[in-house]
This record gives sequence, structure tokens and C-alpha cells, in this order.
Amino acid sequence: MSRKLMFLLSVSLSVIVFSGCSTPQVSSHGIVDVDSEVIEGGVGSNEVRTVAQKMGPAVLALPAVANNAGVTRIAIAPMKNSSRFVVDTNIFMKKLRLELNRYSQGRVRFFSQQNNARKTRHEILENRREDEVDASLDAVAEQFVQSYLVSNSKKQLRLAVIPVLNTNLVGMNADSATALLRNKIVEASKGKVVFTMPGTVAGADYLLTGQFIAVGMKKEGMVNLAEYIGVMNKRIKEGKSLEVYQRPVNKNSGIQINLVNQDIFLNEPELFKQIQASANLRANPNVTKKLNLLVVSAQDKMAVFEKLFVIEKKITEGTEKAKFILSGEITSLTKKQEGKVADYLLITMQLVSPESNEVVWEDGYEVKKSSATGIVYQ
Amino acid sequence: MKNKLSELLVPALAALLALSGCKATTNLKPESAADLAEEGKIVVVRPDRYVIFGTRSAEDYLRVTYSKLTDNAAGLPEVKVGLRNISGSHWWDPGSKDCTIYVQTVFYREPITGQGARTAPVFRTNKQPVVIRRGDTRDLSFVSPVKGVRDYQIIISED
Repeated sequence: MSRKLMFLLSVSLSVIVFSGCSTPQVSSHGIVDVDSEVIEGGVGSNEVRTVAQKMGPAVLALPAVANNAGVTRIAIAPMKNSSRFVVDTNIFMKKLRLELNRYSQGRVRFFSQQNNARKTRHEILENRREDEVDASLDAVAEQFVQSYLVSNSKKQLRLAVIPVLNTNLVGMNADSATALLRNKIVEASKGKVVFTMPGTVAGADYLLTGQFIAVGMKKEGMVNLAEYIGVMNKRIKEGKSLEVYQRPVNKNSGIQINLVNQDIFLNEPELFKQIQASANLRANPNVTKKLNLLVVSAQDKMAVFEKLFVIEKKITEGTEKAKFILSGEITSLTKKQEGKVADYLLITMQLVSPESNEVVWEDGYEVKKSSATGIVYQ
Repeated sequence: MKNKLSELLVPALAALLALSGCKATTNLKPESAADLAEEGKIVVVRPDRYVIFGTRSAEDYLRVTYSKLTDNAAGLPEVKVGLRNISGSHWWDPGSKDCTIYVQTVFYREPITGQGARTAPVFRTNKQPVVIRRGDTRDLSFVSPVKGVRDYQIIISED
């Protein structure tokens, strides 16, 4: 009896001791650790995480980053995939960017490239433009009123407005800016400067005009401003309207043809055709638009005041401020034999200087994997 | 007889209800401070299964050749560790192969070795796969992007 009891006691004791070593019966709900590879072969989450955690501190440890007192701005170039695997290579860059943003404490900054914020950003900047133009016009009006021409004039100055020349033929209208400027000049001069009725130049001492310039446009019409003023004078003498635009010539395209430009560009009908045919040329281009304002003497056509200012600033991605370009590549070597495959993966990242095109830093992570051929393509 | 049975059953059921049904949560026990204090800088998690001959535990076939916490040139904490695969050194284990382990390093702002209860780590690497060939030694390096680290722990697992 005592033997039986001893046996039972020892069995019970063993069960109690080993129960502490048992595997906990915890439900996984199909969720696995992000570092674990459920399916063998290919490029997996562990590679993405390991690459980011190795490269992140390496980037922060670079002397150009670590010793930089300010912010190091980095533009991201698409990662190249030269391996046989179908991989969304952006995930490597995203994870690395996440690590750097999380731990750099603002010392490293990235640009918002290729994401949904771009459209909203453009809308915000478009809305801000109106305020910027208004502020620019205030400054220009003040400068004009303070200029030698106005401040030293003992009599009231009479100005007439000639519509602003649209040099780049891109459907932009700088006349609204001129109309605003006219109003601001009158206000700032407190009656010292007056304007003739719109569309008339009779009795004016000076002509307020200008040239609209869209910087960097490929299709540009070369216009001589003096010739333009001459054309305008001729139109005035002939009793023609100073209206620059007429109703759409082509109902389908909705294009408004610049009448003044038609007078000047008689030898460039092909350009007009191209503009009418091309939606790209008709669209408001994302370029910096400047207005060169001129106050021209009505007598001798001499410009007595000139001011170039920005109406619209080109909306850039900001990458021109980038100190480095972060890029990378996934390369692989593959061997296959009798249903088995071995892949050597080399994942490299590099920082390139935009100015010198030098690779200032490069590091790599390598791993070799074996798997069955049927499951390696992701 | 019936009365006696009900006398026993009713309090038993009431006790069962009181013990099991009335609590939505239970307190989780803290890890023993003594156990935590005993943990070293390099630990191996419990193996997923045991075998009678040979070994399944990384504890049996891995040796640490060195481990050190320093600051790199940029002042970032860096742990360097050497791990050796000594499997196949016994006569009963001739078929040993290369081992694949997962190594995770946890960086602490306060000393943890022999300290008992811990503070939250400042940085934890992911579980990085390392393959060590039979008899080979691998030199590993883990860098924390967060400065001000005074202690670390390396956790080795087989999966």
C-alpha cells in the first residue's frame, strides 16, 4: 500500500514539476510574429525589418549626418529590384524611413514623395498664392509710389493701362494682377497718381504695362516688348479694342486666342495650332510665373520704372534641398536542382550626393535561402 | 440521504460560482525579481521541444566568445558579440549541422544585470536570423539609434 502511495506521489510530483515547462495553450488567431517566416524562401518581412534596423543606425552614424548641426534632408529614389522575386521594393524604403523618423529626433528629414498628401498640399499652396500675390502687389505699389518718378513729381501723374503681354501663350491672364496693382497704386499715392478710363490712353503721361513670363516653358513666343507697345498704339489709333482676349475660337477646345499676340505672331501660326491641339500646353503649367511691370513714357516710350516680381511660384517637391539621395537595389543569385532552389540575396542601400553624384555611403545585407521551387515566387 | 446530498451540493456550487464566475479579470503575476536578477547579458529561450539523444537547445551548442557594449564613432551604443557553434563535439552527435538562430538585442538606459525589476528598454532590435556553421564563430554587431545606453541583453531563440 505504501509502495502504491509512493508511486502515486512521485507520479503526481513529476506531473507538477513538468507542467511548469509546458507550452502555453494560447490562441494565435492566425497572427504570427513579424520576424518569423511562415513560408520558406523569397524575400520576407524579416529581411525588411533587419535591413531597416541595420541601415538606420548606420545612416545616423555617418559623419555627414551625425556632425551636421542642422537637419539632413534626404530624397528617396525608387529601389531597384534585380532579383527574380516579385517584391514591392518601396517597403524597404518605407521601413527604413520609419526607423529614421522614429529615432533620429528630427535630425533626418524626408520629403513627401509619391503619396496622397501631394494633392492636398497643392490645394493648400494654390490657396496661399492669392495672399502672396496680394502682398507682392502691395510691395510693388509702395515701391512705385516711393520711386523718384512719383515722389519728385510736382504735378499729378496720369497713367493708362495697356494689357500685360502674355509671352508664353499658356492661357494665363496677368491682367487681373495689373488691375489690382492699379487700384493699390491709387490708394498708396493718395491721389498723386490717377489712371485713365480702362481701354483709353488719351491724355496719359505714362503707360503701365508689362510682360508675363512663365519660367522654363518649352514653347515660348519670342516677343519684343517695344514691338508690342507699338502694336497696341497702332490698335488704339485704328480704334480697335484693347481687349486682349476674344471669345473661344474653337468651341470644342475652349481656347481663347490672344488678339494682340495674333498681331505679333503672324509668322507663328504653327505654334497656335500646337497649343490648340495640346492639352498639356493649354493647362496651367507648374512653373514659376513672373510679371515684369513697366511704366513707359507715353512720349518717348522709355521705361521709367521696371519691377519684376513673382505671381506664382512653382510648386516643387522640395527635393532641391536634399543633401542626399537614398537608393537601393535587391540582387540575387539562384541555383536550382531537382525541385530545390537556393537563392543568395544581396540587399544594398546607398546615399548619393546630388551635386557630385558620389556614393557617400553604402551598406548591404546578405542572406542565403533554400526552398522548394514551387513557392519561391511571391 | 437527499438532504445530505443537497447540503453538500449547494455550498459546493455556490463556491464554484463565487470562484469562477464573478471575476472578469485576474491579476497577472509579476516576474520574480530574483529570477530577473539571475538573468545574464546573453540568454537563450527555452527550446521548443526536448529530445533524448543529441540536443535541441541552443544552450547546448552555442558558446559566447566575447560580448561588449561600446559607443561607436558617432556615439551610438553598439553591442558586439561572438557566438560559436560547438555542436558535433560529442560522439553521440555526429550528424550535427549548421545552426540557424534568431538574435535580438535589447538596450537599457539603466543597468539590469543582477538588478531584479527592470525599466522599459530604449531600443529593441528585431529578431535577426544568424546562421553559424558547425564549429564556426560569428561576430555580430547591434547598434542602437538611441544614445544613453548602459546595459543590454541578448536574447537567442531558435525560431
